[in-house]
Amino acid sequence: MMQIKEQFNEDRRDALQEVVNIAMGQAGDSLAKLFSTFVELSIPKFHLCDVTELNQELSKNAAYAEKITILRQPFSGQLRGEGIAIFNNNGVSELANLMGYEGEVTSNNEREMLLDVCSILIGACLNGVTSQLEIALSYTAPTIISQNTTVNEFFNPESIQWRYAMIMEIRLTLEQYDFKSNVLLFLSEDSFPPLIDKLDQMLEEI
Amino acid sequence: MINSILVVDDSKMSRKLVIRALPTEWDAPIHQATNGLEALELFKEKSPDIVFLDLTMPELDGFGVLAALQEQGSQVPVIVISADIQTQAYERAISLGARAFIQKPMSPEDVRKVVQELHLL
Repeated sequence: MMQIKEQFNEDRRDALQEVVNIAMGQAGDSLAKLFSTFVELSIPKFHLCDVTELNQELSKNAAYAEKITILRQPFSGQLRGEGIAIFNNNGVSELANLMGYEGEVTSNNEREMLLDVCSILIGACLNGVTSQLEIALSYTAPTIISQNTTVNEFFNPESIQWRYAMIMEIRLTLEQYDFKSNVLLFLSEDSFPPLIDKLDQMLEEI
Repeated sequence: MINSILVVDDSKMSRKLVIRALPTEWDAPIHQATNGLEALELFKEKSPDIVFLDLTMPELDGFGVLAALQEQGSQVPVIVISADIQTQAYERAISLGARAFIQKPMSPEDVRKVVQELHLL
């Protein structure tokens, strides 16, 4: 683990955080246009951990203490991992209003809205990352993996195939609404070498 | 005449990119701050003639810096360089006195174009 942590030295972490910051800026802009409101973005947090410590690491974030809905969008190519979008349950109930939906909100409508928002968020974020790192990724449609759950119930270390995970985490909040979303970009350990190569190329160019 | 420059960004890589993009005609000391509070301290201490300011930062964000400078009645041009590209972020920054707004990822040409438009070259 120490060896892996050393690979992500201060300069590489800084470069990666900036790449994700720019990508999430684009994702935030897409969401702001969809909701017609200002989206506040947090500074991206970098986590590198053994997957057995994943719950402990994520539960440091108070946002995950409440009941949440979790969606995922796997990606592969030069980097392999998953985009995870987490929404607080209070925020999910505001989605229809935010998206200007006027009909009766059924559980099907709600699922569609969640999938749309996830697709916009993760899609814009991944597009931002790929264009800056000049890599190609392919990704599948998002799916809802759990509703009305908690982080601890969801991230079961035994269900994750990787030993180590690198996670970039960013929080989006809306002015005057309860809606909150956390976007997590998980990268598998086999993505570390190509990612580091790309970050080094960026750093060499400045 | 630019005699002192302040570059504010929590990312070292971004500060480097901004510094590399500065017009070569400006032969002036460059001061760097990594958050809004440091920026305000350096602003007072170094009296820069121009500020390049990120928005999303720890301690105090770029909006907080702009508000503090506006309250002081500062006329020093502030150019915002931000990953937050929402129209509302642009409007908020301009209403707080920013003279220009450059979206990240930025190019050296973006910086040169803006300083020319502001007649700072």
